[in-house]
Amino acid sequence: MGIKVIAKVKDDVAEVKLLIKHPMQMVNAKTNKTAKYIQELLVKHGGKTVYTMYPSVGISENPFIKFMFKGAKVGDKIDVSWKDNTGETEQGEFDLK
Amino acid sequence: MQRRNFIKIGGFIALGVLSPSLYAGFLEDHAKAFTFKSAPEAMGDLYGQAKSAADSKVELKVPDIAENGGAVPVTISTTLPDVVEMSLFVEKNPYPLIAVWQINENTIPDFSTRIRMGETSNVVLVVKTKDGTLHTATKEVKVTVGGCGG
Repeated sequence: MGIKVIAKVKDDVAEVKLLIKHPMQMVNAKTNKTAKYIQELLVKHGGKTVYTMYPSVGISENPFIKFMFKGAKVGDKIDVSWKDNTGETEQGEFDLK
Repeated sequence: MQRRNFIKIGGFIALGVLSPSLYAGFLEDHAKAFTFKSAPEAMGDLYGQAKSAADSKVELKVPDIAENGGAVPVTISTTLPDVVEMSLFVEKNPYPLIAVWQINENTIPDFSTRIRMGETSNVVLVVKTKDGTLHTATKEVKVTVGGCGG
């Protein structure tokens, strides 16, 4: 697992690119694999949620996400967290550049 | 009886005020939407009988042809005001509901991601505004090699 973030601020708008290492695994009867996919992805900035996504196995392996939010400054921090259907979670804090 | 009505009304008001924080309960309320095998059923779970219509202010950017159905780039955006939610469907996928986004105060409704497509299909973007109406955009993507075999 792992979260990579590139986040740049222009004027007061932050453009955030996330790359999350996760299999987003579908059920596969042939290989006996059970589903494992991110169900909830949240990004917070200064106590406010700025990105709320509920993905499914329809999102590709190692999800790539790009989004923008207002009210950002260089040096601010964002908090990225996800939870998958097996209860596994990951969280990280990243700087806006 | 009057007292009961008063409590009922009070409850509705409280629910209205608290609704932004109730977003945390989305999966409790709508996890089932992701399990439906047809797009209309999944949409029904999310939005009930709400009216929907194609809207030129809703933009869905997808390639005309995707060589790899395992990772099809998608950008969804809208210039509509008061957007509360966006959702994306691939009609012919085994589970058509791909994802749901909730729009917060500082969120700009313009997102990109990569999706799986099992075969050539319509992709449908639904944008819900504060008044409860649904605005949609639909595009077909031709898939050369499907991405739902994994």
